[in-house]
Amino acid sequence: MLEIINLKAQIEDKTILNGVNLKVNKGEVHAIMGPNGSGKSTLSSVIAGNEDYEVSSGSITYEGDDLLEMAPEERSHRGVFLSFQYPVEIPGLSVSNFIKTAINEKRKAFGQENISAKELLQLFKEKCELLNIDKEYLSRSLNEGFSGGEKKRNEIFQMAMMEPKLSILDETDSGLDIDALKIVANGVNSLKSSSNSIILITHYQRLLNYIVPDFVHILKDGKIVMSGDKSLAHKLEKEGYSFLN
Amino acid sequence: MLIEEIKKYVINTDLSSTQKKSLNYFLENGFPTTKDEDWKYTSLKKVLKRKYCLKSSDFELNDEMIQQYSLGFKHKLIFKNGKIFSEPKISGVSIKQTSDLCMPKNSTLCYLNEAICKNTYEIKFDKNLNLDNPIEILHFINNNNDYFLQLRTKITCGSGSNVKLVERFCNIGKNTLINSCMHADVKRNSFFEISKLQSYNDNTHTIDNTLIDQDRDSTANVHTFSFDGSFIRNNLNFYQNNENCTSNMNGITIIDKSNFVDHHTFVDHKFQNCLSNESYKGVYFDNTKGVFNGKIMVRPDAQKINAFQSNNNLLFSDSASIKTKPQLEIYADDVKCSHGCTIGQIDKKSLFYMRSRGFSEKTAKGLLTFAFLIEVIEKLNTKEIVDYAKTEIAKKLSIEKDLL
Repeated sequence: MLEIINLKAQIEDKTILNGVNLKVNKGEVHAIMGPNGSGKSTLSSVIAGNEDYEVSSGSITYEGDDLLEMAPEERSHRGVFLSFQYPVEIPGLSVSNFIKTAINEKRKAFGQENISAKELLQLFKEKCELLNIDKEYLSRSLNEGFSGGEKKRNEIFQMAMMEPKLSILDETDSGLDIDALKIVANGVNSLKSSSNSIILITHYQRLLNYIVPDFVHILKDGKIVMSGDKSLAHKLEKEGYSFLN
Repeated sequence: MLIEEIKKYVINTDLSSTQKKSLNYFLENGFPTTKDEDWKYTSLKKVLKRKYCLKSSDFELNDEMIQQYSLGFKHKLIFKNGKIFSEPKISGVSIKQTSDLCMPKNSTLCYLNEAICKNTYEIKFDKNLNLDNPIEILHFINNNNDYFLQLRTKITCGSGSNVKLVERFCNIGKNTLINSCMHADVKRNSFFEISKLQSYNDNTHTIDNTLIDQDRDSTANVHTFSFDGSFIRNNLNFYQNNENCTSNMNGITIIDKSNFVDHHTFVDHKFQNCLSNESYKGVYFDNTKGVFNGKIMVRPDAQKINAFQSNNNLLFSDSASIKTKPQLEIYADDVKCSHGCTIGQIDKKSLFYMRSRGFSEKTAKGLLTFAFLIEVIEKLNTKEIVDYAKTEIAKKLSIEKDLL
């Protein structure tokens, strides 16, 4: 589904990713861990198409096509979803209108009709239940005045509504208390299938107790320095990143 | 050049003594120039350069044209080059023409208007009249030559009345400079609201002078939508002449090409326990220029005043500009006054967030801009006006109206 080869990226003149290689197949869950400043968020931004970062070399292939050639909206239409570490607040735009438009923009890109009101309502109802969200929240302005946890839950709610093929969850666990973490993890697990893939970006092993990864990678100084199965995360939790030295 | 034309015009016209005085005042002082503090950023030079005539010619006006510009209100008051074409028959409302009527003034243009306007109308709303539907005032303008048109209306809202007006100028002819003066006398415990729809064609230059006198316990709302027209200057003045008055002003400006809009507002708080609330939002594309000047005067006896003012602007191009200036003069000590103005661009982070959710850049920008404007739209309480605003906004932002 996704293949990253020798990816180098920089912001302004500072090199952040320094030759990342990663292959994600359909149905797999990958966790990317690493110390602060190792390039985790840069990697997710580059995959989503943030133009602040410049890719200096390497390639990203998604479903056989050059992902780096696609505009951010095109990546989204093709099924790439980034759950933001810091979701933006948009006063004056309701959650429901935002999600409805997002769904319809995708449909438009594929020459499909807009989603019917009935279908949308049903989908809202279903996904609200999944993530334990009060329906009243749909009429609130997007992320405005939301707590950190509510913002993260809103990201996963959007993911549930948009049913992406490749989801990148950038520190979705930070800012969540244990109850909220369980709800979010439960939501993510129920969205998991053999046809979609998930990349979890996290500092801590905590999230991985609830969403079990098939592979764990450690990113350091812009490179993946070690890969393994979930036991690698446990080792990291016990010994800290210092064992890498 | 235009001054010569005015002099020629008045030779053959009978002027009353009031009109003569006003004419002399105008001729002594002339049109405002950028040397006047209130016109510092607004030059009439280019607008006045044309060879305007002051005489109107006749034209045919049919239902189809009316329907094209009407928002579909039940009561329509229609003018043709400043003369009444048709009027609604509503019990408790009287509309009559007068030739000589002294009204308050806020610039030399009001003096000129008083001196040479031939068709002055008085619209009176009876005491305790509760107008069921707004009256839609449509000014159709069409002349054989470039035209300098004077419009002059006096509105009296009897005590306890409830009046809503919608005003729109429709120029279907040549270059026209409109100098419109409106004075509203809002009596005790009455409610007056006017929505000004400024969707002109490119040939239209407008100077709109609206002065509102308010008596005790009254409310006056003015909503100004400036979407099209090459030159627009709005002078909007509220005079609170007794206690417990409320004055609300809302403005949405979205302009493109090389158009120009200037909002000059003034609230004179003369008595205690009054409120004024002002919110203007502007979106500027291409080579447009905007000016906002919001003056609030709180006189020494006007204690317990609440006055809020905000002017927020989005610039969509490097060659667009806005000059914004709050101007507060406060001579009372127990008052609450706040003001704020911002000038900015669409937030890049928000734009990326939306694009990463599949929004095209155009849709994302459009919805972010609409979200920026929504605070003002939410203050509108007439369905047709909200609909008009959304239609025009969608057009300007090149997005589908259904998204809003």
